[in-house]
Amino acid sequence: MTAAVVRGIRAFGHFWWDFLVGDTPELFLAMVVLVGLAFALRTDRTADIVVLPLLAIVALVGSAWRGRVRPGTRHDADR
Amino acid sequence: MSATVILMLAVFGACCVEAVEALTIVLAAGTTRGWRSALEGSAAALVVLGVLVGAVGVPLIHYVPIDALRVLVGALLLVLGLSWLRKAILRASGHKAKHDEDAIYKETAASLAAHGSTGRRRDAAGFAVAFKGVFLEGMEVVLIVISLGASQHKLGDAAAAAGAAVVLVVTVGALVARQLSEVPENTIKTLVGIMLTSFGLFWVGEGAGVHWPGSDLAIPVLIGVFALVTAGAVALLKTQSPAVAAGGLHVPRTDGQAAP
Repeated sequence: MTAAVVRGIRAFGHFWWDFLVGDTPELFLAMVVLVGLAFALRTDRTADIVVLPLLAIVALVGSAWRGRVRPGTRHDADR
Repeated sequence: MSATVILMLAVFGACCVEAVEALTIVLAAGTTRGWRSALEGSAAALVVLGVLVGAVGVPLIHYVPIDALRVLVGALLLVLGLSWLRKAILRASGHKAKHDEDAIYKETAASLAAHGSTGRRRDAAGFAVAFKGVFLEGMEVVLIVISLGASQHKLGDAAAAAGAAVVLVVTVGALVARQLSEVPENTIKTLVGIMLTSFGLFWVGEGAGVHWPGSDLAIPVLIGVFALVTAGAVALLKTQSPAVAAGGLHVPRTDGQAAP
């Protein structure tokens, strides 16, 4: 019974780790920074509507760039 | 286009993608281990997922302040959307193998057939594989339904859109009797990723107290911005792609897990 509960908790934690961080920790980090900035910049009407999308764009393009296949490296089927 | 319509489209698209992937596994389980166990496994997983939506989504709507809820689900949608978009960009630019339902079907069927023959009784392997396939693929849909539905107090509409997608995919799958390998999965995933990212960003801002110009009208604008960025990123990465010269890569996913 106890072992089953521990297994369940471990599987639950594993699911959320994979879901939130997985092999793209930079996207998780970007999300954390973005949420922090959203609160920090909420009084600055211009900065928030420019900075938040910009940060998301930089995170997306940077992460995709990091995931590209470079000459001479192995092609990972599901990275 | 209102935010509700975009919400329904996002849920419908996400659910179509995951339903196609789940159907592939259920078909493999059904044809190799018997339909009774595969259908029972699928039904059991759908019931568990439905209970999750009710058990988690309804209390979220009633007891969590809307601003806190929007920051929380906005952050979740942002991670999920960016992750889907990243994967779609890499696939479209030839840096990542495309999802191949035919290969996954053959692989799952071969793996199940190796377990030996089954009679007419219930088959544990067929039940377990169908349950796992539907449950894992469905978990992301549950998260999307709860996130999008709870943030706009439209949980019923979001669940209905997800249900409609499942019915559509299963009906088409039954009619063509195959695993829907023709569905342009990467295109759908790209569109849904753009919508999830836009919703996520919008709600993180809204929840934190940011005043988007035009309120809900900012969502279509964000969608347009991320569509342009995605197209630009694909074009940029295509110039770097070794696969383009080699004619593209088509390697099936082999982990059997739900891919974000």
